[in-house]
Amino acid sequence: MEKKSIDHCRRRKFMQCKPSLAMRLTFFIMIFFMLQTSAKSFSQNVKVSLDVNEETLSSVFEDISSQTDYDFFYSSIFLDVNKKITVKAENVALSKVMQKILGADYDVEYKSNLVIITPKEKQIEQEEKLLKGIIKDKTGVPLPGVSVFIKGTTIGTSTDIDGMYSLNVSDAKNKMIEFSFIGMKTQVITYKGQSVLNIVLVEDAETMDEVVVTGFQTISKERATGAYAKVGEEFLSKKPVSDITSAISSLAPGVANDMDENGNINIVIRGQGSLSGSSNPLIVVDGFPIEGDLSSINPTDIKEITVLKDAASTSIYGARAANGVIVVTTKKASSEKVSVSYSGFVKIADKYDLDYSLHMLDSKAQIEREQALVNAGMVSPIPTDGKWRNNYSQSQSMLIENMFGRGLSDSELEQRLNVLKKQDYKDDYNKYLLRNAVKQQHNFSIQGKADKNSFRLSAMFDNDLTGYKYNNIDKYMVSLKNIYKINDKISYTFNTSISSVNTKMNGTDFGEIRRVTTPYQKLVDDNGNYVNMPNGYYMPYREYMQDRMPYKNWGYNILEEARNRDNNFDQLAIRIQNRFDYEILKGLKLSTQFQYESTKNHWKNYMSEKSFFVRNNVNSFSTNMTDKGGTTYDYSPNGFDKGGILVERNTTNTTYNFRSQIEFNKDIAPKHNISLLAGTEIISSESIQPSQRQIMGYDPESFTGESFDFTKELTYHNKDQGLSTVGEVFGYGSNFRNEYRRYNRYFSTYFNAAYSYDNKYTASLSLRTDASNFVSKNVSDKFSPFWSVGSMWNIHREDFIADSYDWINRLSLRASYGVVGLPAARQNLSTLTTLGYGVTTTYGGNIPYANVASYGLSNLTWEKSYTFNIGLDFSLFNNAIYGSLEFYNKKSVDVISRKSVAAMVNPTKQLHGNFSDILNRGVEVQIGSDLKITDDFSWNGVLNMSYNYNEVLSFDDKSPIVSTYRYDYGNPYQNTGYHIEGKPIDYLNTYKWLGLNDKGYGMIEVNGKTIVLDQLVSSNDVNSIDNTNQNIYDFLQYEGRKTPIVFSSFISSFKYKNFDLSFTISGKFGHKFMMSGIQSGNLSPNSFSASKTIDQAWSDSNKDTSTPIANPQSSDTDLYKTYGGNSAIYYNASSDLVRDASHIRLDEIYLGYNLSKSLLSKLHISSVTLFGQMKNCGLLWTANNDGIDPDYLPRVINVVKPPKTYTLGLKINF
Amino acid sequence: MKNIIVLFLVLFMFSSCSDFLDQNPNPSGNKPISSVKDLDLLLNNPSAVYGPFYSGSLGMLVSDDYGHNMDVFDSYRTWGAYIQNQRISLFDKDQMSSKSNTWISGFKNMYAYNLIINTIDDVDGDAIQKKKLEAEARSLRAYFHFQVLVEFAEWDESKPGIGYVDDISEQAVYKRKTVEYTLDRINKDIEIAEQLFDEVGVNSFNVDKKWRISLPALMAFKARVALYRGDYITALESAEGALSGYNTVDDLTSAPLTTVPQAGWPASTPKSEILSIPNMEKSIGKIDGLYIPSMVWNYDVLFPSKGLLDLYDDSDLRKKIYYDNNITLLMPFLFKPNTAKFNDKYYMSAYYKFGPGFVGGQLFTGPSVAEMMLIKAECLARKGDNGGAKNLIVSLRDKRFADKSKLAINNGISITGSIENVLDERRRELSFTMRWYDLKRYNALKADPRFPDGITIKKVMHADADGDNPIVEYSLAPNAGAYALPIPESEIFALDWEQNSFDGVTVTNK
Repeated sequence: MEKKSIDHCRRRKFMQCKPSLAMRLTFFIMIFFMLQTSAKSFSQNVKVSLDVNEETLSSVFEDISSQTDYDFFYSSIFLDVNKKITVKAENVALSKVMQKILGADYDVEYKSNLVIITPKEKQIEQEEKLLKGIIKDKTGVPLPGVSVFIKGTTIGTSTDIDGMYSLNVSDAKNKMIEFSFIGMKTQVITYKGQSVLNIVLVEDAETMDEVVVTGFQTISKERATGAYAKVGEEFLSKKPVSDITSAISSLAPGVANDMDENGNINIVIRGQGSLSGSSNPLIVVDGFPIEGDLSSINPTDIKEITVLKDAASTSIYGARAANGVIVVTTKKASSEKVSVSYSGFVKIADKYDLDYSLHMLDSKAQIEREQALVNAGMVSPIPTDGKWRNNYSQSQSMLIENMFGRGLSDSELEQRLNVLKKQDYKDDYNKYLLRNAVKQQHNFSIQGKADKNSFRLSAMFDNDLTGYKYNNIDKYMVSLKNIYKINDKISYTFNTSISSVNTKMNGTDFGEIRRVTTPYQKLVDDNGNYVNMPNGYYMPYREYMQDRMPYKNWGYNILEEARNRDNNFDQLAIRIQNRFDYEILKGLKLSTQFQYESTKNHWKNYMSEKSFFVRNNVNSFSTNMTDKGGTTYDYSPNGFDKGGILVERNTTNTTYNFRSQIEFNKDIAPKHNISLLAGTEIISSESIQPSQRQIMGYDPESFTGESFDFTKELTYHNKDQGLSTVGEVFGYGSNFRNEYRRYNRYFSTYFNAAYSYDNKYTASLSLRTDASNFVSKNVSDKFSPFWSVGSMWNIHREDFIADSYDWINRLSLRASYGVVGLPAARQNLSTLTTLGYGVTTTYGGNIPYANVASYGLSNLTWEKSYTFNIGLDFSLFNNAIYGSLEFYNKKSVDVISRKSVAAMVNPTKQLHGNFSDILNRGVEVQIGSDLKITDDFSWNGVLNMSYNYNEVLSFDDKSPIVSTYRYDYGNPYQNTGYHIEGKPIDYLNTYKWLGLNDKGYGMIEVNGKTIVLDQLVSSNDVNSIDNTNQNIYDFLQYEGRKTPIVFSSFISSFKYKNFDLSFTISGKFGHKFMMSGIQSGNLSPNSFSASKTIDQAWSDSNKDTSTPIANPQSSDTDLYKTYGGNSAIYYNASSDLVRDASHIRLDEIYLGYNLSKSLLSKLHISSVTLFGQMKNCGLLWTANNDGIDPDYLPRVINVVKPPKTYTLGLKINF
Repeated sequence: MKNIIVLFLVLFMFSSCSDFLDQNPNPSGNKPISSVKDLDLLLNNPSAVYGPFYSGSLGMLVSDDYGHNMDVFDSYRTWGAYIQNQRISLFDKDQMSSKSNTWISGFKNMYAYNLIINTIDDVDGDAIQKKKLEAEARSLRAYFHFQVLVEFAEWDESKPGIGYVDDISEQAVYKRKTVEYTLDRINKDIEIAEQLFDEVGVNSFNVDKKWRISLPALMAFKARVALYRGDYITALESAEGALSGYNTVDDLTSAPLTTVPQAGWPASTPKSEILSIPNMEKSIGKIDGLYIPSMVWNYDVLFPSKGLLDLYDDSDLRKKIYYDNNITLLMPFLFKPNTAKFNDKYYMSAYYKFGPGFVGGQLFTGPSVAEMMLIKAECLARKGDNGGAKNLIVSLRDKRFADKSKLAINNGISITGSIENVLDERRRELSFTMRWYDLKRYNALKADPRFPDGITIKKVMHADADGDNPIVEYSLAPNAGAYALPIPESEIFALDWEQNSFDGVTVTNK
């Protein structure tokens, strides 16, 4: 909402002073207090000369001001400054002049440069009852000149310079006393006979802030029945980040950040309520649901964020609101003068800590372990298909080559391994692949406001040199918000933003590093040549074959790859919002809104012929000429050329959103307020992905090359000509597909009503019906109704509180209940059986065919969640303590889940339908405090705490036996898709671990029996572990949840003079994680490094451990069997590895400094802030003793743990 | 006035919204069925018929075509997939019931067939095309039911069957009923399909699109069912019907090898090679003599028993092409090559490599021209027409021997056209894939004159997977309950059925 320019109007009406000296009241009062002790009795020495005839009092005051530097301070209620007077004086003391002008009815005080005029206190009769008190503003500064009146009478007074008042209230019992002050919100309090009544007045502008923006309307917080969490500008301004996803969770209770294994952050509001759909909330920007995520919004444009959590607040979004709604409001022009501002920062990060995330043995230990495995005969049967496809590391390949006598002697092996043992991968990785990430961001904005028009234009540039060399991201964003007032009744808002992202992704990433890195890996050898790394075919095979191949270098190296490709990703996103508001009558408004969003993504990847990608594909698909009389391989028979390869891909997403609504808001009679809202909304989105373009022999200079369909053409060439090639399937074949189109459409109508009595009681009702274009027999199936009811009671407005507990400033109780949903169509389900189409070339020709795409379910319906919410808002002791308490009970029903059925009923053995119910129940607490400790020093803190209880109430699948479970859902301890009634969605199951026996073998308990994991293959007991017909629940041990039960954050801010220091601490509690386990005892392809956990394994010299024996000792036949049978998988799924994941971390520290205003005003700059921020500061406490950060589990999460970052920034407002 | 305009606007939206919402969210991937063409495409996916692609089949492992070699076993026993096959072949009930692929594969396309049969009358399209589609769907529905029946039910028609899947609703409930019930439903489908094919009138066999069932293919399948029940008259008629539509047999003397020698790598391994892309199009689509091209994809090594290998004449090309005796080819790193034991070629035991379709690892289970010739020969031999039987055997062996002197003589014994001659030739030609089917009917019908009391399967092996345990003999009695293999436990659980008894297996110390 618009902030009124309060200083402006206050100056005109209340103060009479030189316009050039006018300044903010607060500022003035501050100076006033600082100077008051030294400003006594100056008036005696100040002389004035006056000669006025029938002039107004105000002009006389102005005259005096010009002679003396004194300003006048009075209330126009008591002093009529338009009264005309005649005065003559020649060099007379000011005090005497004042006496003459004002007469005996007024007291005049002289403080500092002020002349303060107050009406003289009347003689108080003994029997009169006096009410006294002090009136202050929110920051604790006393307010002089506040009018205090008994309502409906002329009896009143105003406060003095110390904010004190006293009022004769002898006949005022049960009457209302009104406290009013321009620019402040008027307060009315019922007088109950007390003798002291202290009041805190809040600024009007702040009152305007106390609203809730739902995206459809703006509701006064006093009348908002729903559960909202609001993050204001004051917090957001301290978050110099590129997107605000990560910032929200620490600021709003009930909002959790959940990182998946690929490092994607998902926002989860009030627990997961869906099993298959996304848990991401709906994002709404200035009233429009958008398709993009929060990163599509320039963070410096954001004024505030409101998180809508319960049914009363979200039901107006109906079908898309089941996961909650995040409403973003962007800034608009706030002042009449044209102002320009700049903000920018530079952020530098530590280098990635690969050691932590890889969590692997060091070079020596790794190689020694491999040698021991070979000595114990633990080498798996590898290339079973005879194709030499298996990927072994450098040291493993050497051991294998030596073992099979292919020209690597024992002494040579020993010597080469010794070299490797001394190497450390970090030497080269830090030098060639990693760097300190540097990110800079610059924002400019210009804004202004006139009678008819207000505008705000902002531009952002963001450059990110990521922690991986050769990966850079540039981002540009421009947005414009323009509000035209066409006339008194009609206004038009135009809001547009354009963003462009250009990404170069040539470097490596953690996924690749994890795949290829051995502890001894070097990238460049002593002669400057690239070191061959494992990838695809067995390394010695590539080295052997390359002499006969078209490309004589068949080596793979991640640095070489980074230097020889040009991978670009460009994104262009446009969002245009239009809105007409027409105020038909007072209180009746019609608005029409239209939004257009378009996002175009373009991937253009060029791999030069120096890249392994190209060399490997050409070599793999070259034809063996041996059987045709040659000795080499030739690329030409397959119809392709040497040279670079270009792969290009596009996607386009377009969304239209059209909405019309009527709004009615009126005080019908005194104390009765009604607000109504009704409208319709249409959303249509389309995404298109044309088929990919690939060009062989591409020349980046002339942009030419030969288009080639790898999958098709290669297959044919091989088949028809019976050619023999090393490769079978083109490496990137799976990326090639046909054009893809998706349409999502919604048609909705909604109605919202609220009735409020005397600002004490509010009741609200919301109805919405949504239809989506999911496939069904009848259109009526596509509609689904959603609704909510809510109520609110402002207890602090009740007499019994207002009279007796004046320290309670706010106390409101809210309750709501309602239903929101998710359309089943989102998951490609339908009530009809549908087909998917394809073309196969496997059997020759192009054979078109169809498959069943979805098995129709006759009674398929929308997923729905019913939420009951009760909330309490409070503010005590003049806002020294404030906060809210929420309790919710969210029951999700008809949740789409899978259900096992016989293969006879459905060939997939599953049905997908509305088979489950889920309960999320929780408490959210927010407690804040605003304390002014001294004039210069203030503190405020906010503590957020969310507790979530999650339970799968019903999962309509018979409890599976272990063997079925393993077939249908994978490893029993990885709850991939199977849920247990009475347990949370994200449960962790393990095999019960009984420790080690005296030989170092692990023991687990199955069905009450102890099983020693030593002879896994041969023992009947253990062999049937995974084939047992045991019920899964009895078989495994429940350990707890994998996501936090309690999520909390604490933000603390200190302000001292111009400094602002704040820090954010967050904690997650009550969940569990599993340490990375040990590898099975084979030399296994694609596994180049063993987990550090093996360091703790049992051995003759380390018997005091719970980690089972891992390094084979020669001639131990039992051991042979143990590791041959992969007993490690049981250890890795056992309770021994479970840890408490609770932890507390210091997220960030922020220090800001505001340059002094007096200095800036000379430079015509209104404010300058310098700030520094440190983020990812690390853990303060963890429950585990293993040095593990539970949010970034090494060897589990596929991204590297984010390093500490240091940011320096600047904000200037002109 | 404005309010009225808005009201109109709202009403207008309502009236047009059904069109707006009719847009399919995923037109290429999620289309409702509207025409006969849609249903036709459902049958057009070759892999739906070719490859349920399951890993092996229980009957192949349990029959006496699967053999054991203790030395091989000792070296392989760390290899999980091998061990599971070994244990299944030694009648381990738990291992079988956890291997559900073979059952699921049988029902994999049943939904599509039933969708066609149950909705064909409701879609737009040509009546002739509808009849043809229904005939195809019924043929395939019957065919896959029969495949499952042979593995999971006893021969005796009064024993529990496998029900019959004919419903597409999610609430469908199936009971086992009896073998007779299932067989009746199979025969009913065959009968209706035959009639529909007749009405359509297009009954020629299309070699290039053999996954689309035609009348000759249906006849071939009908012959298989009739032979199983001992109905030699129907079997003969049907086999002749099939052969009159299509009768090309592959000639192994000109069959291409799918392997190409690899130059030099790795130097120290004696016979090394890199396999080329299997020539699927040629081998499946054109060369083999299949009517219904269904197959199993056998990832694991199958070990032929001594009894099976001994049946082949040394110059039989099937022995050379279907089997391979170079174990190190596939497992070069399994053993330390310097270990004396494994350098001795004796221990490099033979293993089964190619199915009767020349494609690595795939065994065709569908009825073939060779099978029809042998069904016809068996029926003739049983009628006493030994000359007719002999002619058929010789004409089949003509495609299997380069040495034409061996066409009427096998391992020195003359082929006369006796029932025994036919049954032996059957086992050589249809090893693994039809052996379980044959054992069941031989035992139940006392159809092999050499075993009037039936055939007892015997396998000698360690007592369990541990090589240190004593050696025992496992045996399975003729017509035992164990001829109905355990249905996957998950199915028993979901259907609430009674599991097969699996009795009749005995273990005795050796």
